[in-house]
Amino acid sequence: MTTYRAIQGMTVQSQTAASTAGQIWYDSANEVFKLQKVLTAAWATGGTRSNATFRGAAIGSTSAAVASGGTQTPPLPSGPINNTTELYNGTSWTGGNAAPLNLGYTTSGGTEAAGIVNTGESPPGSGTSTLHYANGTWTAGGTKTFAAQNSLGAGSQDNYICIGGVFQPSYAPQNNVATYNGTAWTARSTYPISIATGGCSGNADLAYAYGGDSPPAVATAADWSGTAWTTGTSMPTGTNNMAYNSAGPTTDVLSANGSPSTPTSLIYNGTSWSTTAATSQAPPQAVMAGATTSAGCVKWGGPGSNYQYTEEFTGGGPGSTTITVT
Amino acid sequence: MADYQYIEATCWGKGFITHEDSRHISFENYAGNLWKIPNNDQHANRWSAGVAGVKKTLVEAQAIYDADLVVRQNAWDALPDDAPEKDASSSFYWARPTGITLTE
Repeated sequence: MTTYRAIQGMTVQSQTAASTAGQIWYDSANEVFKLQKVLTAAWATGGTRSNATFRGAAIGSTSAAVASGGTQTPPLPSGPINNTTELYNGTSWTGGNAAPLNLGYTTSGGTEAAGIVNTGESPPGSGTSTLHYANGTWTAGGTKTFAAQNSLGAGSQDNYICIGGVFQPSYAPQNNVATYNGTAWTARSTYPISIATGGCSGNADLAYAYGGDSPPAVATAADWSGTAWTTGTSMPTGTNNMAYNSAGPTTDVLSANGSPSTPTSLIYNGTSWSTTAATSQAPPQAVMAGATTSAGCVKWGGPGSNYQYTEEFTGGGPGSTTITVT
Repeated sequence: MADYQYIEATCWGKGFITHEDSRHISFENYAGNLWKIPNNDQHANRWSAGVAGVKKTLVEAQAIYDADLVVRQNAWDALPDDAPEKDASSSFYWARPTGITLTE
């Protein structure tokens, strides 16, 4: 009979971290045996929110997220757009300071310390308001150059891009684009098509926008250079109302779910799209916080009573699993 | 033999489905705290036991789902006729909820 030492070239080591893939090691810090391997990407349930909302604001990261506003359910499919705020610490949600405006069909991004929300519809709101969030404090930002909700948006509080959207009374998709420097919005070159409810990553200097409702749902994508739009790599299929990592770079895009209801998650690496782990819930109009797939993202919401759940994404890569020794 | 089974279990949040769970088990969540997981699968059965899940027959699961659907349809019906959710030209348009037939 062969031995671990013969296979691996060493005995089982007592360490605080693994050395190589395939290694069985004793985690001296946690006093358990572990197997180091390459883990696949996966979703898991996160903390359960007090409110089931969709299309609210999503700011921050998996370990420090801010959920504010959204359309509240029940009643279904649509209920009062609200200003309730909840904070996530990576484990559970707790109440936060309410936003000064009701936040419906927003775009948002940034971090818990420097978040940004394009208010969308805050009935009967203007569709041009901007809010800043900083560790519990809400303040007013600049006035956007066009009125919209259900826009595509990405970036940080001082480097943000907002694309398209719809607004009352026609609710027709538009192609307006504006960028934000933390103080003021500037109108920019229009998006190649009229669009709403799509996804976007990057910022005002470099962005990748994809999918959305033109209508119908499109797979079309476009790259923003900071000054102009060029044709981007299309999504595999026409998708709208997806949850996406608006705080992420253009080379690490995570798009989850969408309309019609689907558990599919996709990753775009700056060159091509690929399918990654499926979610257990498949709501359209969920929202997502988090920057990169390697650091993880968290999504929540959807138009249904069971969408107070949160799902956390972790990207693939080196990791260890505990071995139960009996 | 059915490929899948339905479990009724209330998600408590973090740890209900771990990343390791979802690497081994395909999960589909439906209204009514229903979770569709593989049948005759050790990982899935262990997960169900760990979350105190109650196995439902296909008929029972469908009834739970349908009851929730009625609630959603009633809410949609209660919206004013001129609500954006009922305007097919509006981005807020949301078709009246329709049910699905669960399968194993």
